[in-house]
Amino acid sequence: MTKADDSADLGRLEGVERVLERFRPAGPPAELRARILAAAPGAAQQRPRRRLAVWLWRAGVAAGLLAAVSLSLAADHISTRIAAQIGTGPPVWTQNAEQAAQLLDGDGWGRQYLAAALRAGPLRPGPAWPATGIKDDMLYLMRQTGAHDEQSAN
Amino acid sequence: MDDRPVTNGLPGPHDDLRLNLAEAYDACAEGLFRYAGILLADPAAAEEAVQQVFVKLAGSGRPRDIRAVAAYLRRAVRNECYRLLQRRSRDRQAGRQRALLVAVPNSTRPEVDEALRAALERAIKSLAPEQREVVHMKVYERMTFRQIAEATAVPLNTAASRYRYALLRLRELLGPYAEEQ
Repeated sequence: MTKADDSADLGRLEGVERVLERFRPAGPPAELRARILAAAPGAAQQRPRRRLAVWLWRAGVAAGLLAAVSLSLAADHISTRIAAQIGTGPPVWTQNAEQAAQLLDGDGWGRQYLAAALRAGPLRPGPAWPATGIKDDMLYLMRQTGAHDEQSAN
Repeated sequence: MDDRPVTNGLPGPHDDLRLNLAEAYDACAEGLFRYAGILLADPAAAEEAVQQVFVKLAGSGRPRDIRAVAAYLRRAVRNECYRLLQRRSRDRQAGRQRALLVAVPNSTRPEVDEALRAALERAIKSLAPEQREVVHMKVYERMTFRQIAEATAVPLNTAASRYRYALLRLRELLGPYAEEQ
């Protein structure tokens, strides 16, 4: 087949395409939609079911977040309490300790010394604390840190 | 009736992606029905195919993304049509007589040529299903040969030659009608 034959052929085929384009395939009858929806039981409930699933999922996520935050707070609280009980937490700056710090030198090295002593552990509040008075507290502190022995030796 | 090109019902990028069955029907069924009608050359069988597929969709728990649903429906309708064609070849029965084609309103040619419509229907029905399919995709869905090849799982050259042979056959069957255009 030559190029001229091809062109003539294509031209004739365009005529067929124009005939086809004067028509279109018939659409579905109106009742098909109703028939399909009726034949698919539960189809009408699909959207509510989906929404329910979404809300259940959201509620689950919210409950999970709430549980995570609660557990985190509880864990912080427990670890703080345990740290205070075993003496590894921050120094517990009691009224006696404050008075002792004032007695030493107010805001200078004495306060730092006392804070270090408190952090060391034995000075935690509770039954171990000999609440007899400032002088006894000071002696107790100095004994705990070895300062009293040095002074006695001198 | 409007003269918009026939589409396969695929929604645009801003359409709601989560649809229920009714919405999936509204988005896709018209294009699928026209496609099935031409492929089967039988509107009544097309109705059956489309109905079967939508009912299966309702019970299948398929993904609700409409683009995925549209692609699924297209494949499912095609498979259903070929299943019906095989069954029909075994058990040939007289189909209910309904129009396969309707005229597109045209201001320059307001009259509907019933003789031409009937001749074209007869000619289309005489084509092989694969030829009818490619004619529908090319003429009524404005698909490229590459898209047709992908949709029908054949090489591009096969898609193009099926179309060419289909038009040659239609021209032969339409005779003077095709020459007049």
